[in-house]
Amino acid sequence: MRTKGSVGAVGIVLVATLALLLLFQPAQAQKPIKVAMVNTSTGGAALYGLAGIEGAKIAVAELNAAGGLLGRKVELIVRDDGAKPDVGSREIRDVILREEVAAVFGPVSSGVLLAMSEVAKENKTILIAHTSNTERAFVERGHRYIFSVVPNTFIEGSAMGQYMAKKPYKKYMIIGPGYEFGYIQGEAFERRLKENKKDAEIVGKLWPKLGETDFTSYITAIIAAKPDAVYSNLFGSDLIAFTKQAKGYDFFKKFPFAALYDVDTLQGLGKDVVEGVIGYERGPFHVIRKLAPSKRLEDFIQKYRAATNKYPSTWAINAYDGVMAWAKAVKKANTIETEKVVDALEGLELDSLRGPGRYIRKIDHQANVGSYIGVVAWDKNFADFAIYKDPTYIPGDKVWRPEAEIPEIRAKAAK
Amino acid sequence: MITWDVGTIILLIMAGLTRASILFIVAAGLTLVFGVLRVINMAHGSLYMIGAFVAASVIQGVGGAGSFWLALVAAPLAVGLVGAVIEFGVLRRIYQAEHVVQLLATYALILIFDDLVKMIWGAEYKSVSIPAAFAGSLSIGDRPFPIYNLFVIAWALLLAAALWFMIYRTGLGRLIRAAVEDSEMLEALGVNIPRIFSSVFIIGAFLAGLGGVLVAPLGSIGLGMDVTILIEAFVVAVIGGLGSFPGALLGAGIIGMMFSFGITVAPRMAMAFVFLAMVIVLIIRPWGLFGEPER
Repeated sequence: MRTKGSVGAVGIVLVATLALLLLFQPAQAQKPIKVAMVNTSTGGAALYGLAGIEGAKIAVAELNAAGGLLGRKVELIVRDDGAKPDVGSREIRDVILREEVAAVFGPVSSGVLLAMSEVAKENKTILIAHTSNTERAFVERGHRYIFSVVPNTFIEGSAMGQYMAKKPYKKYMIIGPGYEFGYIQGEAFERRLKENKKDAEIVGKLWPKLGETDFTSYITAIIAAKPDAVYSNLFGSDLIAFTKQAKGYDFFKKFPFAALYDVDTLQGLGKDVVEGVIGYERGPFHVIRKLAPSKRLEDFIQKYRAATNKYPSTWAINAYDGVMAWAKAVKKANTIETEKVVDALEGLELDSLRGPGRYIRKIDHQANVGSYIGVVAWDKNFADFAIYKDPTYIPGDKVWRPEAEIPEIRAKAAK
Repeated sequence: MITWDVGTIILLIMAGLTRASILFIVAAGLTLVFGVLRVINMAHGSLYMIGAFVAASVIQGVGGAGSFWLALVAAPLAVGLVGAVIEFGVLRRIYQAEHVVQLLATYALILIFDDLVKMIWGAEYKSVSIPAAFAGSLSIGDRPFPIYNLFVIAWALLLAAALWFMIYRTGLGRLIRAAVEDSEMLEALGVNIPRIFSSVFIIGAFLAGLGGVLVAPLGSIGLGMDVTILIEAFVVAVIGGLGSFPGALLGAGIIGMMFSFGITVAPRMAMAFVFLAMVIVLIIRPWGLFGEPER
């Protein structure tokens, strides 16, 4: 019934509604900054992915506890790539286009990294690698938006080549997982070994498939080839299986052996570990504590143990470093706008859990992070898993690819 | 690269036999289930994985000398129970459905078990030591060979004998052979087919679990082991002929040996050889070496 009274009533309701809407409209500056981690949380590689996710969560929580970035909360979106390149590409595309993230972190697999990198390049979004490390993603297929805070295959392989060249062994056998990471890192090791030791030779290379569970045939093949030493970039469950099986053949009594014995692998092996083998990895908390102790590291270890009841693996430490690197660049550039953050990241010195002096070089966006090497041995401070004794750190800038080589490699790849 | 002497060859043969043993134990379950139920259980690898994880929990929980033997009994029984649940809850409803539906359903089980295992046991690698009774090595042809591997080979032979006895010398075995031939006729004769199907599936699950326990001290126990074993067991079962248990034995032997020697001859091609073998067999004899054409 149209009366003056009801028109007035409708008017009041309309105004009230508008007022409520305006009041609850989040002010533009309050919207959170979204970042995404596309990592592996299912399947065999899940352990590394989950550690990375945990490390990133701790970093984001710290940023938010300190008031956020540029006054805004940081929100972490987590996606699972299942270690499959097509899934990884799909997820990164989704978080970029639908969630409009400011940066992406991840993945575990070098194969997935190459696929995700294409999407990041296409969409001009920052991608920071903190676990997968194939050099190809940064040199041959490098671009403006991809960064690495983890030693790439060239650094890691060359560091071991340099380290082993000092030993008296001449004939080497290489055994590694049969995919991108295995092959490329094996190449780097071989090159640096031969550069530093003229009479070294590789008498054979074995590439069991990633996820191989039965290494008996590979072990017998190595025994039959009689090398002086064996270099391996097997890791995780493959390395655990290899170590346990090889023990039964007195393998480690016959052959000096070097492999990626990271904290997870040593924990997984437990009492089955073989003392005296050489281990190398990218951020073992027990070595960093000795060589570059810091309050920051101890705080991180404490937070990580509170959240998971475990010691942080290198994958958690590097993920934290990746997120903090991006955060520092954002603060320096005073914006989340990609081009400016990229400029800030180039040359940036990291506030890294691994210690001072790490910076990102411009030509391939690789941080000068290096390789931690030691001899696997039990330590009275840790009852459940062995660590490294006589550890050493080879810095990234001592072994990374000389800048002069990079333009030529890129030119060749572009053809 | 390799010095080919008698010692090396013997070692390679023994290595091949070890691999073949695990493959046979797992493939036997897969092929038995297909032969009788006409269902390809994609979740067979998951059952194997659960067997390994249960074994790890028993061994780490109970500890001490007898824990491995306890796990050897407990884990396959536990997996058999899981198998019973799957058969009753899922498979029973889809026996009449198309193969595609069955594949999808069992594939869904893979994903479900993956997450369940991650939730119950976490994502870390677990390791189970070789039981003290079998630690150390034996000299075979002047080379050391792990005693535990001999134990695994012995188990596979024992199991092959036990399965042969069951299938060819017992009443249940007779029913199983009849069901493989023609289960509809058997039902028409008044035999309780659902009960046979359940029994066979549980046996299959039990075998998968047993494989998981035996393999546990040899490698690492972690997520993802379900997929790797499934592919290999599948190849073995297909080469031998789906439904044929002597086929599984032969297939496992062939693949085990091919792998062992293939690695020394052409390391990068080792995996390719295995699949090549499967392709060749399928071209020459599409139903596998000992299989029968699908009725």
